[in-house]
Amino acid sequence: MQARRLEILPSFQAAVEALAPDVRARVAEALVHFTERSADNSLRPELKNGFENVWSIRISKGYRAFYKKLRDSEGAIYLMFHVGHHDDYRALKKLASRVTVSISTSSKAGMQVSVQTGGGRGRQERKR
Amino acid sequence: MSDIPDGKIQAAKVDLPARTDQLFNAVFVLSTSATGQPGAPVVAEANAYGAYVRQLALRLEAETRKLAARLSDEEKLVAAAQELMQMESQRRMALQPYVAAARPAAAKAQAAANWRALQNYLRDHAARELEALRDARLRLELRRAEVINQRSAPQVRIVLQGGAQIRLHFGKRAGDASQKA
Repeated sequence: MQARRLEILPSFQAAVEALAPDVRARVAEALVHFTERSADNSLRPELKNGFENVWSIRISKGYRAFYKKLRDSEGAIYLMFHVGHHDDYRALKKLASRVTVSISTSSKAGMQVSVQTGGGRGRQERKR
Repeated sequence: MSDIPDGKIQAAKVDLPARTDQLFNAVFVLSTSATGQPGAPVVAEANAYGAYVRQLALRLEAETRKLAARLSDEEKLVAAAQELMQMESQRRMALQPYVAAARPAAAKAQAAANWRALQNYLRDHAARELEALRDARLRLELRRAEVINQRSAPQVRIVLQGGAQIRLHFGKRAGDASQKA
């Protein structure tokens, strides 16, 4: 498979140079794998939600490199433009299933506390 | 005059509900010894926190979009991004003790399930709060990157393909940096 073409933008170079030497080395190593398509599972390339054509790859637990994916006459080109601190809070979300919490009152039933868990499987109610 | 002087983030003015600490304490700490159901005041506080997070996320996104569209001063962008990073770090530290797994003690399965559901609701919103702060900062960092690239546009493009070229480029830059030092 053909290696990816990367353009290292000045902002990317500036961001790399601001990092600690060990993180800098990890950036270089991650880009080697990215261009050679050799570790996409651990780099986890993904489109950043809420941003236009901004993709990220994982450098380490707390760092991500950001790029835009374009096409030119030679095919796809990846514009590397930023690398920085970026914690992943999805693990926290994974612990949480979808729930809704609501309170309703009625003169007959009194106050009801309702906690509903994901998929509508369990609905528990309490009357006071 | 701009309504966003000095790139200050105003979204912090969305006030965190006053009893949020007590809420997290009740749901993640006290629930481990609670025997009954979560009471209505706890559920109401949880809803207030959820509403706060939704409002904060909207405000942060709108404000940082505005800032990114108007600011081209690197220093101001850096200062605003650092302010957001500090907020994220403070909130992460404040939330950290609570969000680790905690097993409610309620003897009745239904009561324990309700406490767990509240814990999940708060974990989910805590994650959303931290993500909103992180992504707002990223928006400003990306704007700063744009400013740097616009300023440096006439320079020669660096296009690399394959591991050897990447290693050579970053090895050379590291060598240059250590020579300067």
